Amino acid sequence: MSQPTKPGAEKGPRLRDNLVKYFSFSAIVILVVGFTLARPNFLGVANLKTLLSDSAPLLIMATGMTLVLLLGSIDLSMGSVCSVANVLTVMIINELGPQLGPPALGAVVALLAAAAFGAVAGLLLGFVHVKLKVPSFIASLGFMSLWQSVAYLITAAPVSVAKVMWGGINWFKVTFGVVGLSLVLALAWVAVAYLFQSRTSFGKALYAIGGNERAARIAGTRVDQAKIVAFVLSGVCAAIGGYFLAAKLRSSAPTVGDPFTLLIVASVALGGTSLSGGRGGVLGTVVGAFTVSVIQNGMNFIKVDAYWQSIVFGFFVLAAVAISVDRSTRGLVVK
Amino acid sequence: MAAKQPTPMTIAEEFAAKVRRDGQRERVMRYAPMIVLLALVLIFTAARGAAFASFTNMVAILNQLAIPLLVALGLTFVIMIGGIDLSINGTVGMAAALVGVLVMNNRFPLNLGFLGVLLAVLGSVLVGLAVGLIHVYLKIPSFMVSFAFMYVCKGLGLLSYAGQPPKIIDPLLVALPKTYWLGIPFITWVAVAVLLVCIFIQEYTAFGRYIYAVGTDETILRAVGVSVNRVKVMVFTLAGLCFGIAGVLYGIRLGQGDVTAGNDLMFPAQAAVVVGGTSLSGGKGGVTNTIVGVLIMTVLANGLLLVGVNSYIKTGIEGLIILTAVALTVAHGAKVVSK
Repeated sequence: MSQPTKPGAEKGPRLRDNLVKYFSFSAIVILVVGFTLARPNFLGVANLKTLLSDSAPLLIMATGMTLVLLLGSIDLSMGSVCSVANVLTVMIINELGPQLGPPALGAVVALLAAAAFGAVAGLLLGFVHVKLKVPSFIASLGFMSLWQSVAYLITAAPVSVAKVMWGGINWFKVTFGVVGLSLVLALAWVAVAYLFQSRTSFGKALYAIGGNERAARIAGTRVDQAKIVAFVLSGVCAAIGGYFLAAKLRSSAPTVGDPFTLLIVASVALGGTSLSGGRGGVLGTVVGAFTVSVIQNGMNFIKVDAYWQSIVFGFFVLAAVAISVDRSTRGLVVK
Repeated sequence: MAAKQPTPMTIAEEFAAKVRRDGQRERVMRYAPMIVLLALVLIFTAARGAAFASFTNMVAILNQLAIPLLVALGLTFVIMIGGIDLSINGTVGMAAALVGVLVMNNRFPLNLGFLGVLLAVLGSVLVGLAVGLIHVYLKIPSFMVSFAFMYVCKGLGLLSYAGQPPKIIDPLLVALPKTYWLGIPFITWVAVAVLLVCIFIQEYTAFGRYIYAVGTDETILRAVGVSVNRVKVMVFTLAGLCFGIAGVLYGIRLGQGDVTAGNDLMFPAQAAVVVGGTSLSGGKGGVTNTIVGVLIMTVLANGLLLVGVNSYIKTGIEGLIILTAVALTVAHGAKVVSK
């Protein structure tokens, strides 16, 4: 005895899903057309190159955040984990690199160290959130301030990568046509994350937990384990983002990750992953991250004051979250 | 003999024991912040002696206390309804920037005097109102709305003076930070006045009762016919007012309108409120708890500085304090779902 489907009940969610799905796509198209009209060489080779390679760090970090957001949790510490990884990378390349011989070796060691740090940071956050039951936003807020001070303790002032070690990080500038190696690597990373999300039981668990944690637990999903793994992965993504930033800027700064937290949330929310969890995915985030990159690059390109950017992104996040947030339950208590 | 008791008695006894246990736990929780504060004072007095426990340093602590107290007061009400406000960095910074721009200063021709001060506070009030409205009517979690507004306000603050912070040259406002009454700085008196207003709101108005009720269980309040949405919006607006006053005073004390004024205020404020014993899940704690919390954080910051701890470590310690305090007060158990 199947219930007849009410047309009204179907229309709401579908309309919203489509709105979310096409919001970012149409935003990209409109923005690109707009920026091109304002400055015709916006789509020139030089700027396209910058745009595409600059989006790589954001793309990687946003991928990690997607996994956490699918759970219905959030990781506000990603920006400062990125900062710590960034200063750690440059410190290792500069201090340890010359003793290791070829610059590439120093860069690899730095990458491993940064990723290991990210994993530890994610593990700690996951543990505090899952085992001590501290809500993720406040737990990650605590870690945000903790890692900020760690980043400052490692290097208080920006440090440049020594010129002899440039060989280890020059890969960031390698390009095939307009597509940079950094973007290729980032997309490969996203592809791995996509397989992880869609083909493994871990990925299924993420959706199940985000949809209904209690039901997932009763159904035998290893909820705690899946959550901690998601936070570890987001930590690693943040750290690799910091590593990419070191390669891109050829220098470190203890505050380099600060503005990224908002950009990451913006990318994921614009990509259609709901803040309440259980809906969305990594592929949407790619579109979201490109939207954010186009806005950022475009505003720089048409010489909009940098001050405007945080205002614009603040409202973008609100708009994106407002579209994708779950309001289906009547009398829902939102804290 | 206890095993032979009829079942109703056992249940009643169990209940009584549970109430006693809860009462005991509550008492411990109530006095824990006081004990922490006392311990800190003793430790720093032992470590630095006269340098810490001197009259000059007490006045300095009162001076340092004022702005964190204002910020924490606003945040207390928000946390009491179970929400959170992460916009502090931005709202406080924006108010500080605006006051520099609007009063007599070395970069802009505006010279609105006291009206400028009011307008700067009003800016933050409007932001609080916007946070509340968006949170309530678009059903976006308060941490997300306020987090986005932190960036918006920082941008607005920077935009207001286009990069270079203006110096305040209004003679009255320049003299204000150095004004004392009964040996206590003027800025602290303002904080005390706001504190008294907050205590009044919490204890003697219906609105204050509603704040507790919303934090405990807003569905009950809704069923009774109180507009929960209005209470929430008012709470966020009130928080905006407190942040605005804090920002303006900070700007005046710095002597310039600088948006970075708010940067190191958020973590101490969050830590102060939760350390004071106001629960993040809402409905518990209150303004008086926050006074103790702010005292703890201020004494800690002051003492660490006197002991000679690297100032970068301070932020890290604040983070750890937030984590510990929340982990201790948050609800545990297998059935708790935390997102």
